Amino acid sequence: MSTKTPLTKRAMIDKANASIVLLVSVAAFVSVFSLVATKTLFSQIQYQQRVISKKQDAARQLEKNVQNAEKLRTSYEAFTGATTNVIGGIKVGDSAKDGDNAKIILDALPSNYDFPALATNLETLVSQQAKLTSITGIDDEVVQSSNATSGTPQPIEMPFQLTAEGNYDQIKNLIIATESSIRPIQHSVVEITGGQANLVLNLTANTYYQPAKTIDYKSEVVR
Amino acid sequence: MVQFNLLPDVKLNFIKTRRQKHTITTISFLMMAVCVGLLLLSFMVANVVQKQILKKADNDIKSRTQTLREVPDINKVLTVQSQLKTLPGLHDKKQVTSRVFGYLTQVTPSQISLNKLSLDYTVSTLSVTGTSPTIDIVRVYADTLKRTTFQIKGAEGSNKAFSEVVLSNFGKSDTTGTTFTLTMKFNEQLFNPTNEVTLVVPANAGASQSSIFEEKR
Repeated sequence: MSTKTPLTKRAMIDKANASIVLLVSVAAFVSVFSLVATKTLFSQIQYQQRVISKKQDAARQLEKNVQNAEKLRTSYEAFTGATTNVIGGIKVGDSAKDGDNAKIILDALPSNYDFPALATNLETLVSQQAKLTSITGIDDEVVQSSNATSGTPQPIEMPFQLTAEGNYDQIKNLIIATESSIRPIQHSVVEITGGQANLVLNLTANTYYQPAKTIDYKSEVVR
Repeated sequence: MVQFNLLPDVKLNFIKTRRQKHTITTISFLMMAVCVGLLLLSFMVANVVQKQILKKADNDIKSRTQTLREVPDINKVLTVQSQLKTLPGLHDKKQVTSRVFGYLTQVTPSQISLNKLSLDYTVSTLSVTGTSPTIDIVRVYADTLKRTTFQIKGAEGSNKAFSEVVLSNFGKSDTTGTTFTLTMKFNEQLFNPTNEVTLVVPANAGASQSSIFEEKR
């Protein structure tokens, strides 16, 4: 009996030590596994939070846009509903100055590239003042068709050259007419030759068009 | 006094080991509970809470986008608004070329007739070609151009209107008199539509003509 007791106690100590090792091993494994999984989930949480933040921003922006669209539509109706337009013409009429304000604005800065229409406008403008000899330019419609619409449109130059003949007053009035045209015409080179009664004007200038604005719905990749 | 330890070593070791086991077990379970708790919490946040928020945001975006699409003529309205916003800037950028007639009338001596005027805004140069009875009048003309200044309404001081005035071409014959070409750089402010410009011409310019181009051609 006296020899058995120490042996049992030793065996119990060994067993306890083995249990401790096993417990520590299991605890370490579970803890490490949990921490690694938590770290992965934490990265996922951070990423999802960025996505949530962007989506909430987008939703808020859309809410503002919906409210502003209604206001804008009301203002637009008031703008186009005016009986006299911004250049003094009437809303319903056939003369060059007539038309609603939206039409006047789109005549001044068209939303599509149309060189033949520009040539017609210039012909009308010049013919009222002097004798038009030529209008030249490059019809770039095929290239410009890629700019048909944009979320952030910018004005695009449409260069042209025109030659006209007339007396001093006619040429002077023609230049004034190009300056006061509702369509912005920016002169690059102006050359006037001849005498007081018969001057020839060679004008190199740019006018503009600006692609139509559309609501630009786009997706964004969040990293 | 002498004390005797009646407990054998093995018994002491056993008690110590049992105490150790208890402490380690407690710590291990606590640690596991914390770690598993964190794991479960993260799982819930990532896969339940955030998924719900994302779903709600997606639905909001979809419904508001649809509402916006349904606003009648919205693209036309936006286009007109965009053009309206751009137009003043484009009009402010264009030059007032017609001012050149007034400027030349003020600075060109009455005996001089011009037959060519060239204005190049890309390099800010002005070139005039004409005829004059004498070379001396051409010299006066060039001198006038060099000394001409301008003032902008509302601004203090004056600036030179023309610089680098050069007699680039010159000829003399009995039939046509003196022919000349003067080239110069002009100050861009002279043709800026936002400025109200007043030319200050030297007193001896001798410019009193209404027509600057040749009467007969």
